[in-house]
Amino acid sequence: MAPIAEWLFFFLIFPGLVFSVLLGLVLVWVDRKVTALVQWRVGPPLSQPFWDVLKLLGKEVIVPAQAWAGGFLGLPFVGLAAGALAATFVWIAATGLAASPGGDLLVVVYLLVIPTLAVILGGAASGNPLGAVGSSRDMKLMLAYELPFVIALLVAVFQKHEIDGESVRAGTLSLSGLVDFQRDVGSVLLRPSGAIAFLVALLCAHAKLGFVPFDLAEAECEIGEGALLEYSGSVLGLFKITQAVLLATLPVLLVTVFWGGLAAFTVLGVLAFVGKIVLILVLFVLIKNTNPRVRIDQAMKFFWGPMTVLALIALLLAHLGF
Amino acid sequence: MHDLLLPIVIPGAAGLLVFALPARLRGLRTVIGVLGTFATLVASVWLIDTRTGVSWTWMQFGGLELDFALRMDAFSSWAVALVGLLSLLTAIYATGWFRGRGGVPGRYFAWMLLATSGACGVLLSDNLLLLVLFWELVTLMLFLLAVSGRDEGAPGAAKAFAVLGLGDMALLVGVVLIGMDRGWSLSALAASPLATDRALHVLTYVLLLAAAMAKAGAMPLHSWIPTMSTGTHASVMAFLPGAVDKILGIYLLARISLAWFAPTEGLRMVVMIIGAVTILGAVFMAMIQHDLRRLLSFHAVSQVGYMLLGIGTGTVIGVMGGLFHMVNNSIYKACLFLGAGSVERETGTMDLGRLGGLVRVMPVTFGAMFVAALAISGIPPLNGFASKWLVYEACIAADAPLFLVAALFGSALTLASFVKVLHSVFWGPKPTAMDGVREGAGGIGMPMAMVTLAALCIVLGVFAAWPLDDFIGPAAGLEAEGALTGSAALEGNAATWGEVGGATPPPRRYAPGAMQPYVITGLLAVGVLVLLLMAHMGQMRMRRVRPVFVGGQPFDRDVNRFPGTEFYKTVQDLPGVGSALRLGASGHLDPYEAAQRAGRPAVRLLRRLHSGLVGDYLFWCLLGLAIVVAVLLGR
Repeated sequence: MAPIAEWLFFFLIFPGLVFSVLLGLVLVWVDRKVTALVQWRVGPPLSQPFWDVLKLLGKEVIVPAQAWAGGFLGLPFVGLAAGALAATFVWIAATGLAASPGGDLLVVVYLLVIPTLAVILGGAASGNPLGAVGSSRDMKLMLAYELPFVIALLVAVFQKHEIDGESVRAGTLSLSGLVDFQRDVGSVLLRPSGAIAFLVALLCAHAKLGFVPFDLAEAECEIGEGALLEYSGSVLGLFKITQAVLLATLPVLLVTVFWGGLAAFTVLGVLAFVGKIVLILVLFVLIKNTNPRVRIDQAMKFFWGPMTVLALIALLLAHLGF
Repeated sequence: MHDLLLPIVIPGAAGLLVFALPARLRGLRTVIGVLGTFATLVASVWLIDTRTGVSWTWMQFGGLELDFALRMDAFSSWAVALVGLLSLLTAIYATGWFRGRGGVPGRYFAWMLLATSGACGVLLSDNLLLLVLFWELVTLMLFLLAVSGRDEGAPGAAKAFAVLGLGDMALLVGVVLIGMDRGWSLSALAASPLATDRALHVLTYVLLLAAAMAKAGAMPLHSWIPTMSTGTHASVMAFLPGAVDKILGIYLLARISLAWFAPTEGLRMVVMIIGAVTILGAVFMAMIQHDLRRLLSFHAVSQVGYMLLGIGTGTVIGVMGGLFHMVNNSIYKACLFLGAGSVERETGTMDLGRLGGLVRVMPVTFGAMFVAALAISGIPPLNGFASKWLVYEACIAADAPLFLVAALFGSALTLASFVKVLHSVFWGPKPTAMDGVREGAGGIGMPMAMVTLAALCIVLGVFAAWPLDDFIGPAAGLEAEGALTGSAALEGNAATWGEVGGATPPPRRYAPGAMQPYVITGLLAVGVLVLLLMAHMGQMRMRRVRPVFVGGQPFDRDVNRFPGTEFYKTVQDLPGVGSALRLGASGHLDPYEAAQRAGRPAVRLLRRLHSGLVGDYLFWCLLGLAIVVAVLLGR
């Protein structure tokens, strides 16, 4: 019974649902505040994202007459649950909170697909042609960034190091295995291959979060929020919360895979860990605020072209031991 | 009669009985058809723990002795049961499929039962020649099923017969090469596998590999499946190319790669490369299809790639992944073909641009296809994810990152393709042409088959440890390893990273990743329930239904559409990818079409020789006679 209770606690309270939602909303505030500073404004108070979401959750839901109502209303719940589960696995592996089984890199990658998939299917099921346009763009964007993203993640798995004259690589998809590996040989990020892969993965994560310049799936001024067009009230609120959960998960995933996770459970270690996450977040916000939106074909060319080539070069370098 | 004969004799006898019955007893034929497959399933489940062999001397021509030898081992036992299950479900479906369209065509069930018998025979044969006979029987029945009661099936059936015939010929040559060297008994062969260090053995392996690839539909011998799909009954597509042909092809591949031969690293690499190319090539082709059946058949090809890739790695975890994927694919692919058939039956079209909005009028078909579509896309916690995950881990175990990338990317493309299918068929605005569509005119048989298969997708995903422990693990050779179980791979046991046959894996510093399907499922379910409960207590009950908002314009569902066929236009317009896709669609990469083009001069020559003049023919006869005489005198 005990492991079940433990898992439920991990998943529902910390570091899963409750924690990642709260942290995610704080990070949304960081995003808005930094954006405001860039744009020479004061920006909202810390409580603003919480009030926004609470207000949405209390509003009426309007269901389009042509929609598949079950999926339209149900998918946001599935998306949030999957996002929270991914957050649980990533945070446990990053912090070494429990001797966690199940923290597998590919499981997390797949779980992180589900929130986006929920938006795509929800938009397609809404019966609105503009929603379908948004869904198709979102799906193509996912195809575009997933390819370089997984190649970049694999760089951490296959990077060759030497310990006592013996050639060693992580060779595992276990997230805690990757953290252990980096404890032995230092962060993957510090080698040229790791640095390139980190850069590629960062841009892919940026697209995964749907931030400008890759916000073409929502593109308010062209297709009015795309897949989210017909969503309103609490179901829209759930999607916004899921977005926040992803914001609290993806930087941690990058830190875990490329930057050693939470290296030591000391004050300094925790500060360094938080600093890395905030640094990645600020990078996201700066990219977001200094670039105009690209078209979907440009995004696909960008990810399948230069990004994939860079990721492959990084994989080759990792194989050669750089 | 020996027990092992049951799965062959029951459907065989029932098939011959249906064949012999007069045409007006159509109802009785159908009853025998369904009962025969049901009895086959019961017999195979009853036999599932049997591990025995039996042999009779059947025929003797001079030095050539044909033994009727059967044996059942840890692999064939459940494979036979799976064939029984699929044949029962597609037979039940067929009763509905043909209702109201002139009934089940004459000998449909006879061919179906004989195909079942042949498939069970292949899986149980312990003699190489016997295996070829049964293998041939399945090919023949596929052809007869494809043309029965449907004229438009003829060209596709001919192409299938030609490609499969080529594969069968390769099989026969390969089998004779083995037989002349080592005799015909398979158990004896498995006891001391052929080393692939001699050119002759490599050639034999490649011939058998080609036969397996043609049957399973791996690239480049895949093209018969898409061509055949557009003119053939849905129940036939689901039964043979969708499921049973895959089982037979992968069965042969697993046998030659793991038991009969000891393939070298290089040969295994060839299998893996074919697998990766098949995954990506076929799924790209699937994405641009506008016909639902063709789209599904390209996916049927693409999925074979995962099986080849898994088995090609030669690791325990990879073989388990490949075999498990074979099981899973036969289930969700059958479900998808049956679902597409159900849509075709009610709407009369398979054009993705003309379908739409069927979710409300065909809820059962939608539910089954939705689950199967997520399963084939590998969304956790469904069965497709479990087996793909094993294949991914196998790529890590084999230190093959690029293959892993191909497999993962193929999976993303599959998902994209099925988003298009779901949107075009079930969601989106419903065109006025679809207004009268209703589900259920085919009776209970069709939904029953689809729902059973969809339920299996969920069960085999959530409880993946069960098939892995009881069936797949022993088939992958874990029985011999003693303490290991099938689900050891899911638990991240490094011993499953070793090669099949018990070679110890290279030492690893870090434990492999692990995946607990029930933890993922359980937590996801709890999460959704908790959230739903919170929503229920909150404000979510307040709902209003309003028409969709499209820029404030009046909404015309025939005009304001963005059908799924438009979804991936961008991909077709990309440089490189687009031209490759156009090349693929033009048929220039299809060996069948290439052979047709290449053979045209020869046909023209032959046609010219056929002048219709008696004198010309007489001349050819005399010329032939002269040559024969000359050769005889020369000796």
